[in-house]
Amino acid sequence: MKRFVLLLGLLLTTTGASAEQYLYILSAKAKLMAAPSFNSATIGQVSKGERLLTLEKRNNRWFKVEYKGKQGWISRLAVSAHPPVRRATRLAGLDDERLLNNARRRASSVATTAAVRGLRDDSRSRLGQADNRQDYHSLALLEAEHYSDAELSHFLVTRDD
Amino acid sequence: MMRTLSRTLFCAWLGLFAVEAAAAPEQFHRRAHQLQHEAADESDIQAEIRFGRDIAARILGRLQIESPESPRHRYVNLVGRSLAGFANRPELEFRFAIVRSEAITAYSTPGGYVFVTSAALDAMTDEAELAAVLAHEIAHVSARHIVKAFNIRGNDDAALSGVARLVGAGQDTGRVAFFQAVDNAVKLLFETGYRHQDELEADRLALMLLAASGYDPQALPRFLQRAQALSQDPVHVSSSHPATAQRLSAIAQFMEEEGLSALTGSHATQRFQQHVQTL
Repeated sequence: MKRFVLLLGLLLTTTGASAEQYLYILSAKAKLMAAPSFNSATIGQVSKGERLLTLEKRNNRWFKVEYKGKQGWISRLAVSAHPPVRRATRLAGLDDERLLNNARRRASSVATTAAVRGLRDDSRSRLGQADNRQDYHSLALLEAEHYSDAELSHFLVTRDD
Repeated sequence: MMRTLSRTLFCAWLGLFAVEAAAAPEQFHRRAHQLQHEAADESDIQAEIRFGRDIAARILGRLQIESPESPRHRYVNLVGRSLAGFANRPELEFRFAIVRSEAITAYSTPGGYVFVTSAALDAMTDEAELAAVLAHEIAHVSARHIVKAFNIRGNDDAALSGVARLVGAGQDTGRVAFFQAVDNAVKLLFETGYRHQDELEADRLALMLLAASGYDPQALPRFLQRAQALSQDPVHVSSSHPATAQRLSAIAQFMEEEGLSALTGSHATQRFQQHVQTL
């Protein structure tokens, strides 16, 4: 009897482990659809970070999932096999002065290293060309901007036609 | 009776084990391949942003940015950032800007920097078309097309890796290799173009993004057709894209397969005209 229970347990564990696969919602919100099509009825909304049990995969574009007892289809656009990681808003230790210095070092390193190693023959002649200019000042202006989630949500729901 | 049942169960377990073991090598390779692309850790993301930031600075060195103070800059950001919320890269903060150029096109770099040209904006008639162009660029970032092309990863010993090398502490050869990758990425964006299949994938993902966010997916083929007709020099529109006719055909097929043709979505024409066309 003991052996029977053990084997039954082993069988259940094996089949259970191979069957259960989860997906995580990575987009801000995702619609749970009645069928694998954006044209089908929406049967629920799932938020970022939620874990869904995968039941079936269709065309590598749609997953049939179970979420809070409901079965539906979710687009692969919104999901990943890995949970979301936190947003990297600003690179650690990065400042524009350092980058500008680095750009200057770059010119030097390209010239010297390429000269010594022959890594790139055209590097020296390209230095100073207009196409090689870098504008970190404008980039920093873009990176300083902030848009709140509330503002973005409001923008979406206030669309005309 | 119990012994027979036990034997049956044991055989069943062995059978299952054998099936799994037989399938394992193929599944392992497939999983390993998927993981390579999906399981980006924090150092990969940092490397991606650092790489994309350098390419973005080069784009801004070539093309003058329209003032971030302008109302339409803010408007383009609101459209782009709200769209990006539907993509699967929450770890990135997408940033959008208008750059002055007569070419009807848009550019994006790893890490989420997206640029649309003034000529492209002038050629659009509604917000759905702006969303379509931005969605196509978000898709290139989301699918890591440039990152994969140049294998930018932060946690291995390849010549292109290592944020520390980039910032200046590393060896010259490592930095040179990294900047060569930046050079090549700029060349990809302005001259050679993405791989054919990457462009088509970006179109498919863009259509899904439009559908998920409630915009009319027809805006993508509509704008492509107009851009082609407006452009005297077709190279402007298609230098980084497969022939427009081929893209339109693939888009039509995908829309049919996914039920997107019958979908009605927002155009937000009035709002677009208020923010963009009054200037």
